[in-house]
Amino acid sequence: MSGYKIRTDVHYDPLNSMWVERVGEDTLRVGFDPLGVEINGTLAQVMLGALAEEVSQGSQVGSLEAEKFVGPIPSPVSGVVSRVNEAVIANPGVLHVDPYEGWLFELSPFDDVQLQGLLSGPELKEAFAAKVVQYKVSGVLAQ
Amino acid sequence: MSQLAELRVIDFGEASALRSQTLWHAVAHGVGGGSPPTLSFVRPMEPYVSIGYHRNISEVDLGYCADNNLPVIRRMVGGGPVYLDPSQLFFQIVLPKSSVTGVRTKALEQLLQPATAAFMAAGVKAKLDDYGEFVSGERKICGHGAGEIDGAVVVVGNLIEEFDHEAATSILSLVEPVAKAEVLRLMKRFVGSGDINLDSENFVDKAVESYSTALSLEPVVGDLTELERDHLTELDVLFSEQSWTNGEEMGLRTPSLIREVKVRAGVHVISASSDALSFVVSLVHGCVERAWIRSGTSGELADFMRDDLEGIDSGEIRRVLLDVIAGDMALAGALKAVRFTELEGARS
Repeated sequence: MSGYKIRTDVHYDPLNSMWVERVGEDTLRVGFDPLGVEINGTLAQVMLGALAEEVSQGSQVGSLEAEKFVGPIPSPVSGVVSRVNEAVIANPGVLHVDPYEGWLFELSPFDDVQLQGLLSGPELKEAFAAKVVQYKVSGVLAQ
Repeated sequence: MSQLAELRVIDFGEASALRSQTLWHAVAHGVGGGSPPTLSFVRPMEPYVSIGYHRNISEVDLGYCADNNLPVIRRMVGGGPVYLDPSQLFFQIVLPKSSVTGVRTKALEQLLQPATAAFMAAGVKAKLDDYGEFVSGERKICGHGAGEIDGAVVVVGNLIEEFDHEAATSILSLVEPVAKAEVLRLMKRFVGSGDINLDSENFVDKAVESYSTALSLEPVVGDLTELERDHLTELDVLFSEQSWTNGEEMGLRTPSLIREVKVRAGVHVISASSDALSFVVSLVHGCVERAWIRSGTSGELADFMRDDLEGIDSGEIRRVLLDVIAGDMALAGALKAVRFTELEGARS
């Protein structure tokens, strides 16, 4: 889609360029989508918060560093951090190989109402394409 | 970037090591909370060491710092451990997150580019290269870092009037003396403006003009708000805590057995030391320039520069090093996590 390989069987948070997948009855897995990985640049560091930490939608779960730029890793949905991906912490380059394999953290339990508020299906494609166009028109992504 | 009305300009003048960090972190907190975009300047009145937000404190030679009365302060922006002193003038451009593109490399380029004219006015022929570093010829002339702090984007850089290469190398914790010597040699070659006399007043004046023009803002001399002053006090406490400096409870990753020191983009010294084997390799523009190796833990590292190493590029380095360290599983594992293609940087 728009030159990006994205999965359509998961939910998306377009504000933070993240994907969210239900991996169990009460567990969500979260990662950056391909656009999110690209706009962050070459990742050098990923740091994720403590397990059992309760996070609200939009609040910071961890941080990342790319091009000497430190930025927050937000949570697209409220919940409790139940697992973090140690492989990504050890080697953030995993995200550049496959943003879906390189998931960041899991939430369990989580706020199901907020999950339903994220994008999926046709509206996801539309929003994703619009965001890519917006970046390209403004000249911050290559045409 | 959206149109904004006022560019607050704050020249903090000289400040203690601690305040030379906490002042602009307080500005960021304020800008994130509604203060106008701000360009600030500060010069530390004493030498100290600053370590990037995610970096492990073990990268700093704490013994050297203690012996030389160098405070160590963790900042909230990126990059490695660096030596700062009064011959470096720091500038910070701080904007609300909402007015900066989310594409990090582009944001950095947009927020560093206006400083080019300021460097020129100060007397150094600077340009922002393809790797986002300010260079004059082959020499990196400005260190920078960036971050999103409390809803504001901050980009920090410096005008290096004189660079103490020895101190900048000595503060790094490197097991092998050869590695330290190699970092020093490459720093002298690739970092600093040389013997040029730089005019910091011209730098400040031009930076104000250039940033206000680039951002379409009106420069207005200002000061910290009450909210920022309150936060400054909190930051003074936080940044003075040993647990903050050490990065305790931050979940920092375990340091790799392979240590990479980036001298500038494309210039790196890679070293490792284990019970079975130690090595040091310097890479210049992605090619091996020097190499040393030693089996076991005793004795000096021997020159390992061979014909088949000379000039090999980043794509081959991992293979050659893996051959060399075959059998040392811990080192081999660590080596696999090193992203050699990123070490290539700018080719001259």
